[in-house]
Amino acid sequence: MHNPVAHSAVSDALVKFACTPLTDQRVQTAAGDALAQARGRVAAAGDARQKIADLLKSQGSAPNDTRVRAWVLGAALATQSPASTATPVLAAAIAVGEKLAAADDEIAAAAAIGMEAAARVLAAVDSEAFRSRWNVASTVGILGAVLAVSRLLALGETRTRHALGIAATQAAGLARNAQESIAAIETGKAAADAVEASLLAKHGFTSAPASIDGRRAFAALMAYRFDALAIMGNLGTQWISLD
Amino acid sequence: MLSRRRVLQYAGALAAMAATPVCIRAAESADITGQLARYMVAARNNPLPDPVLLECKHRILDTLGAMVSGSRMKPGEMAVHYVQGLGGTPQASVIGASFRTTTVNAALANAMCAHSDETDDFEPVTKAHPGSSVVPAALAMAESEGRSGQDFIRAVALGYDLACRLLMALGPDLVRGSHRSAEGTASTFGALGAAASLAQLDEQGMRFAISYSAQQVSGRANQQAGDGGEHS
Repeated sequence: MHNPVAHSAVSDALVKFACTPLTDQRVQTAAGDALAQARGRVAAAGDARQKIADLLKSQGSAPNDTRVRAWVLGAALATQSPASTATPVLAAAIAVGEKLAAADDEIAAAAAIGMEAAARVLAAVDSEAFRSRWNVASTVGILGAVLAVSRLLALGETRTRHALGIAATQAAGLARNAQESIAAIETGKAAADAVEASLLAKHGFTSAPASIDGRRAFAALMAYRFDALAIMGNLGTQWISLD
Repeated sequence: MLSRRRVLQYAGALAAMAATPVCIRAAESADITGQLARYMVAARNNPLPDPVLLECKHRILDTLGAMVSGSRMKPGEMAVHYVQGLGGTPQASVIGASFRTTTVNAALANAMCAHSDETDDFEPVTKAHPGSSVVPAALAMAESEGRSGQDFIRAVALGYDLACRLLMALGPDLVRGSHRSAEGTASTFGALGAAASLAQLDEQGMRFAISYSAQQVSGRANQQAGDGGEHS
């Protein structure tokens, strides 16, 4: 057993945040606007979106495979504007929301929570050293995206925690490729991997609880500083993704 | 006075130095990626020495055994159930199940089965488990691309080669000491070596595939005690 920690305050806080009803109308509205903008950008991507879709679907996935849909949306978004940690969240929330035929306000709430969680994880690890090595949009965005998807799938706290851990172990993307077209594919892949992490957790797969802050976990592996309070402080009442 | 941000940057730089004690000698002018890409292209036409061929067959049989036993254990059963729900074009077989699925899904399920009970093989120098990623990737690609048994065996040999070489270049103990899962590097590049060989990529295709694999390498060492890790 590499990580004897049974609980993590950071994971617990993020999971509780993802499973709590959203009542703040301002947050809900802002996320709805972000989703509408994202849908507009996907539509504007036109040929680029179609080429990405053809490429990714050439692997033979089912037409309704949510992972591939999220991948295409995330990559298309990343071709239209500079990617951020919100990009995989929006792509995953749209893909899964459409698949489930979820109500617009449910998709917006999931996106709001995912974007806020990702913004806070980035605030906790942000540094020149981090940005010079990793694709920030994909490596951090996946963590917000998995919370958004788990919320839409109504996984509940235990499985959402496992999904977060599975996503944390999949976080990837090199800054080295930032100027290459593959960066857009990688950002979309973070959305796809978030969907897959939630689906694996739904199917009963588990993960280490302290996946962000534990020994040999996300922060220990990839970050050069870690400020747990940036994630947990006023979570649910203060929205750093909006301020 | 130093700002907090500046102090953090400085601390970050120090941490970065401490975390990367290796000297990066792979200057871009040496074109390590190009050398590797040419090696990978050449490997599918080069006959393997007899002892390597025999060893390779043993590893394939050994991993097939691990897949079959894993398919009747809980992680394997969950993996098979998971990919069954994903649907897709039937391109490759899932071991221990009666359906075929996409190449990617089949490789995922079979690799999870292969590592379910840790009966899969182990390479003593790097302590990597090459078989559980290399053989499932090769099996799925060989089936969907309709390759020969010889192509399959050579692809497996190249996969083992890459899994161990990449980890040896990084230093397996250094990788583990830095919280990374050594399996993340070994599995990703091992599977790449096998799959890219069977896809019969040219040198440029190999370069892109190497770059994408480097981009995708992930895996936290703290997942090894659970079921969630090591399926990439």
